Amino acid sequence: MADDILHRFAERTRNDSFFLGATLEAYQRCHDCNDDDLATRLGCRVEDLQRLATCRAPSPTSRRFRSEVMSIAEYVGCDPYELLAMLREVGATSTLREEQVPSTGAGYLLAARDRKSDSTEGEKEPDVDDQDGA
Amino acid sequence: MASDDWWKTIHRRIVQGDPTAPAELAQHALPQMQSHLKQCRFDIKDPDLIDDAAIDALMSYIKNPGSYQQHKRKLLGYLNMSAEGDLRNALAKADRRRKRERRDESVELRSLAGNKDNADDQVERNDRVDSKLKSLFPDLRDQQLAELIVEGVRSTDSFAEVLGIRHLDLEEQRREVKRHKDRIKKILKRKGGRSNG
Repeated sequence: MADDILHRFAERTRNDSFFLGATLEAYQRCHDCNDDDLATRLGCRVEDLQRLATCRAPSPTSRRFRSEVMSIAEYVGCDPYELLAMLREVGATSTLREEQVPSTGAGYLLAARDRKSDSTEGEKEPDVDDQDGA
Repeated sequence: MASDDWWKTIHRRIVQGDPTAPAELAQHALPQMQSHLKQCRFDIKDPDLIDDAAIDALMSYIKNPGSYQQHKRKLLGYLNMSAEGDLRNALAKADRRRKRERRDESVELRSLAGNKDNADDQVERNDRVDSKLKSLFPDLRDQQLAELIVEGVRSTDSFAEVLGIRHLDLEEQRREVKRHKDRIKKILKRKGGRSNG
């Protein structure tokens, strides 16, 4: 029973960026990987992911970022450098997405598209929609 | 069982933004909050409501630990009380939804029985009342109280659920409910509505 409610809590954190659960969710979506794959990358057991998800997500802009990641890794029992790398990767991806959103969601893509159509006039342009999920 | 010191320390760590404190608190608090809510003997048809109420209360505290005043009560007591309030609100909401569905069903039945004009009138009237209440009461809780008054609900319990004061003793509940009902009725009268509660 206690495990059920803790599992449910961990699931809820996957939609809430306050918690690390949302970071794990973003990573798993991006890499299309399951809990086993994620646990392998982080060097921990699958059951440890639940505790990891319910930790507060450290802010990448905070000067305590690195030490907080180390303390989370110690608490969960995972590889601190893998966790650090994963958080940086997810942070960088979301920052890139946020930067693209204000310019109708495709600032870089539209610029690339303009160059492409200039240099290859008459050719069929690539479908930019496919790149949204990248 | 965690000591008083443990609860004080974990609160301090949550306030300081310690990243592992939410996970540690959840491991200790959630199972105890779940047991507490089960002992409260609410009339619950969906057991997930208990878990959701405990989780909602915990998440809300973790994000806003300033809402807890340490000098008033122990942290677990605060979390239990907060979860009880969330659960009561969820139950009251489910109850209102059931009542609304029953009302809609009865309108539909009348429609099927050939009394279509009356059924349409009823739907239109309900929509008008809902929209009027929304315009009169910007606060959602006040809207819900007004809805109960307009529907002719008289039980203190239903109003106490909306107000989240069922933890108070009955006399206090009655006093609070009366105070709020008087306030809502005054607005309804002043703005031209009619009440029958």
